[in-house]
Amino acid sequence: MTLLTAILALVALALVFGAILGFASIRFKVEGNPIVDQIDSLLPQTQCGQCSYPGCKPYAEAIADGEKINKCPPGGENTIQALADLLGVEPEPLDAEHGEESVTKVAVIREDECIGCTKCIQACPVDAILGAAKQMHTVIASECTGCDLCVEPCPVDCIDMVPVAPTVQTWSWEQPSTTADSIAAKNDNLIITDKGRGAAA
Amino acid sequence: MSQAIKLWDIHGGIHPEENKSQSNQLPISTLPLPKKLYLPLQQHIGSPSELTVKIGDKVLKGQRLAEANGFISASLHAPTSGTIVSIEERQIPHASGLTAETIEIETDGLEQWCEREVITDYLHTDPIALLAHIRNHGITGMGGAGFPTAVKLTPKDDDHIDTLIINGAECEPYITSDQLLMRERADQVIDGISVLGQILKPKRCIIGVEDNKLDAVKALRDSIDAHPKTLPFEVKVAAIPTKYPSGGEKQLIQILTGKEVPHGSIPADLGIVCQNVGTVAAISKAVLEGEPLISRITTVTGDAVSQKGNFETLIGTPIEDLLAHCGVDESKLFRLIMGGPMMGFTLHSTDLPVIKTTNCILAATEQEFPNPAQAQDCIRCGMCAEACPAELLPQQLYWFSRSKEFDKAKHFNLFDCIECGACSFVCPSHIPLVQHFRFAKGGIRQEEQAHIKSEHAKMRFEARQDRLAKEEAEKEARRKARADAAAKAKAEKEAKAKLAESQESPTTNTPTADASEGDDKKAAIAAAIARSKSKKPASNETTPSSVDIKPFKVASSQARAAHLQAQRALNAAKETGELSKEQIAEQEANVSSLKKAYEDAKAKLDQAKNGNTVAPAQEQAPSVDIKALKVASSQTRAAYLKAQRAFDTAKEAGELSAEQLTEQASEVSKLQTDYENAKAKLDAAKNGSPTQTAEAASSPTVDIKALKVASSQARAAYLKSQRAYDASKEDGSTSEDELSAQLKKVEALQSTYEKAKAALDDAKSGKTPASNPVAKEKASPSPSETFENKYKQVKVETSQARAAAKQAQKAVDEANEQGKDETQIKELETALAESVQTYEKLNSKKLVLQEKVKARKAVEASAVSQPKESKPAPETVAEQPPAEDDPTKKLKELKVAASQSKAAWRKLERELGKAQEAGEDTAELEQKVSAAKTTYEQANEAKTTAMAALNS
Ligand code: SF4
Ligand code: SF4
Ligand code: SF4
Ligand code: SF4
Repeated sequence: MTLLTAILALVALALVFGAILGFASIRFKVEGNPIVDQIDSLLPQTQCGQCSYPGCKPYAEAIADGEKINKCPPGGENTIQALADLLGVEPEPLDAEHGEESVTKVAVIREDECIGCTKCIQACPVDAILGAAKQMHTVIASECTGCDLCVEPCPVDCIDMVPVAPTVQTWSWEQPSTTADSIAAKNDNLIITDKGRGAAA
Repeated sequence: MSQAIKLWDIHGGIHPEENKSQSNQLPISTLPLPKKLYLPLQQHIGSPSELTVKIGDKVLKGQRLAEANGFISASLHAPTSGTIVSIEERQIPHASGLTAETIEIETDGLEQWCEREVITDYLHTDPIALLAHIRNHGITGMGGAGFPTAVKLTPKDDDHIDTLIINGAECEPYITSDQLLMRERADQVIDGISVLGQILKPKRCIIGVEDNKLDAVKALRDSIDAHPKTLPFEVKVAAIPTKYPSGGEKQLIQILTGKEVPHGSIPADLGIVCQNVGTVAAISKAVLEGEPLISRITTVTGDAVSQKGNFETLIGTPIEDLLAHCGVDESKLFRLIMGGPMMGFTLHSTDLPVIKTTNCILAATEQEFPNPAQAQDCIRCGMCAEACPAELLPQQLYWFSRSKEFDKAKHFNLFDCIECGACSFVCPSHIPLVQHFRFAKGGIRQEEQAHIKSEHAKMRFEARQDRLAKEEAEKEARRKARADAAAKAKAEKEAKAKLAESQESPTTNTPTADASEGDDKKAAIAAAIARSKSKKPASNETTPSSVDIKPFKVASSQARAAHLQAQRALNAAKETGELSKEQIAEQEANVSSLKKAYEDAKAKLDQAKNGNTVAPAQEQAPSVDIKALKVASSQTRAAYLKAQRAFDTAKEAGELSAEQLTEQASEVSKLQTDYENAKAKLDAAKNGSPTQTAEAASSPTVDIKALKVASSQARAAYLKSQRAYDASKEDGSTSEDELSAQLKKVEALQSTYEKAKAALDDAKSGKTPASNPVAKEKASPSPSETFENKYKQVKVETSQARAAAKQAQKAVDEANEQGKDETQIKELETALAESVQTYEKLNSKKLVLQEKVKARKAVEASAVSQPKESKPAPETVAEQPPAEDDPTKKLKELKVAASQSKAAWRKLERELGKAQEAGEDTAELEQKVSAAKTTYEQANEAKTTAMAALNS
């Protein structure tokens, strides 16, 4: 009799929790593929297509399907590292086939040469170019991701990719070198230590 | 006065050699006035200040040069009177060695003060006004980073400050500026505390001074005793044990109150505000003397200078001057440091100014600061963790920073590191730990920035995608609506036409038999075919001059049917309200033109009926003949247009196979030729009897008008076919052969158009010899224009070919992705290769043409740039582009030409480079490059000449 009660109780519990789980799976259904979104948010969103996919999201989808994580040159090593952390795989060096990591750049239109053909506007994935037909065009530097896509379509070749120079606000320290010869070269980067070293208190 | 204050201890800390006695022996001395002062606009944390003066301005001592730009910013004042000689980018004393905008003042030695604003009765002044006063006088933190003081003193609403802590610890070795300040100007410090008391209303104030400065402690205590009235709260001086880094803000707070500032919060959250003694003194100067922050006490020390001591230095004084005054021995100077030996940074030049945060200039010899030893591996001794005042695990952080595992470093509270350098100091392996941490912090900040930026870019990208999708959907909807309306109209018309034809000409309705089957679109095609067939006889029949009523009848009834159907379609469209206003207007215009056509046709029919008996006479009367021809012409035109429209609709709907499309296209072009034939005949007839036809006789321009119409129609036809071709190209379903067939057709149409245009021009020049030079100028296309047309065409083709190639690529990719079988992929790949080849061919053609165009343009340009006397010469006039009379426009064109040719040249050069890299044969390319270069040079020359001409 007790056995029967136990079984009945367990069955009842199983039904109740099953129902709750079932309800939750419908009620709190996750839209989209969360891992793709997570990967996508780690990619630099330049939409440059250097990874050979038509944008960051498609590459994120490909990564979720097992594509290599080292194909994004604008993201560079930091992105690879972050992806490796997220996906729990070993980071690999950047695949040189897709380009090299370079300093951040921003597009600049040589404005007196622009003929106002609007081709660059059509190419820019983030609407960072301002202009109208037959008018001089200009790049909104703060919106430009440096993807390079507007350079090719310009018929008069008046768009330059200019490296973004660090300012006092954006500058940060370099990584201290750990090899012997470079220490002498970069010694200003090292702590100024007192002649007589004391002991820890 | 016994001031027993309970003190707490901090974790870790170190005892480096103090080295303070070298510089704290002598009293503060003043520096002779430097000749030049250099004031960077950024001497503080936050945004650079905004200039309020310009070059050449005379400024007075204390006059504002730049004002705070934003909340976290500070203003800047002239340290003495003088003239502003330059404002330019100069290297600033900053660890980065970067440049920033700097004001250069040539001092005049007069020390003329501007009007000063003094608040003597500060104890009865609104704290807000005091804060504004502090802000206006450019006060920033003098101890460390230079954070704008007014910002730090503006508490959040819910903060109540109960403890004011004044930092006089000065724990870094070598530096004695605060010690001298407290020793000699204790009253200033106490006055400043009293001002702060008015602003913050604290319950107590503690001044923390290390016990190696007992002279300063005594001076402060004496001063407090002398100021009982202005200090309505308890002020105590605490002598704290000497230990580095007790002067860190959080460390000092912990020593004096026992409270730890939690991770991620600021002292104000605990009801504490901490200020440096130097800052407090500066506040008192600003309020009581009206003197903005224009000078500070700077320690000059180190074995490379003979006269070590503390100096009242104007902000902007070149460090060179300061060192020279102290007797620097350049040969011994090995390392120049701003700040202390623990947290300062090396300067690479003496050509830098003293700024608001320069508390110490350390000119060290090699014995004092030898190059650091080579770092060894971490031996996990744990000394760094023992020394760390922030209770971090430096060796852990070191690993993460070194391998750039920033997430983990952050997790181990990297941002709690105060960069004191205690860990590096004790590390037996000489690992530059704090440098690694600075790097990691910078890296994390950069990553955060990058992440914000990428989120922003993503948002913008998605917004753009949405916008494009919406536009596309709208276009699609419009297209569909149009297609539906057209299909409906066609179907109805078909039925009507069938009826009409069966009555009027039973022999011609055979092809319509299959029109009743299949869907609407098929019916539409069939209808088009049927109509074209049914109309051809009409146009053929009109060519003989015998006037037959039958064709008129047919024409009339067809026109009527067309009109009625169009009307019906329009009504239907209006009712459903699916169409936009413009579309309706368009349709209405269509309907009314159809109506007119019908009325015309009817009139003709009536005329023909009436005049049947005098037909022979009409035959001889050219005017009638012309009319008949006109009718025929307009009919064929209508037919052609309809067919064209049907074709367009079908194409847009995109449901037809490629063959069907080509079939239709050929129909359309046939109809067009018919129409053109008719037109030509009409024109010929008109021309042949110019005196007999009333209109032609009355004015020769009528003929030109007709030609114009013909020409513009031909042009429209050409453009349409071009568009059709483009569309079919883009939709990518048509094969290469079909495309090339279409292209041929397009070209044929173009030549027709060009012929028509030429005829028109001929007619114009023949009829109006030089009577209307403007018209003539407009009409005569410059030679480069024709070239350009060709070039444009080829360019269009090229880009199409490129698009095709891209599509092919995509197809291959897709096939690959979907894992289609090998043969299929192979096929696609060959197609891709073909299209790429086509593209390349076209591209080279394009480049050649581009060269030509440019060459022509350059020639023309040089012709244009000739002096204006050449204008009367008719040949030159003909050569000149239409914009000739507007020199700026002309110049613009020339500029475009020049930059285009430059681009072409550069592109070619790049290609050449690539070819060379790939080891291909480059002789041809080289030739091209040099040709392009000459073209560019010509164009450029023309441009410069034109520019010069314009300027003169
Ligand atoms: S402006 Fe050019 S480089 Fe910048 S985001 Fe747009 S397309 Fe890319
Ligand atoms: S593509 Fe070049 S010429 Fe055309 S609008 Fe952009 S910058 Fe101007
Ligand atoms: S003090 Fe240096 S060697 Fe010792 S644990 Fe720390 S980093 Fe390693
Ligand atoms: S530099 Fe940072 S980690 Fe090193 S002792 Fe100071 S607070 Fe600790």
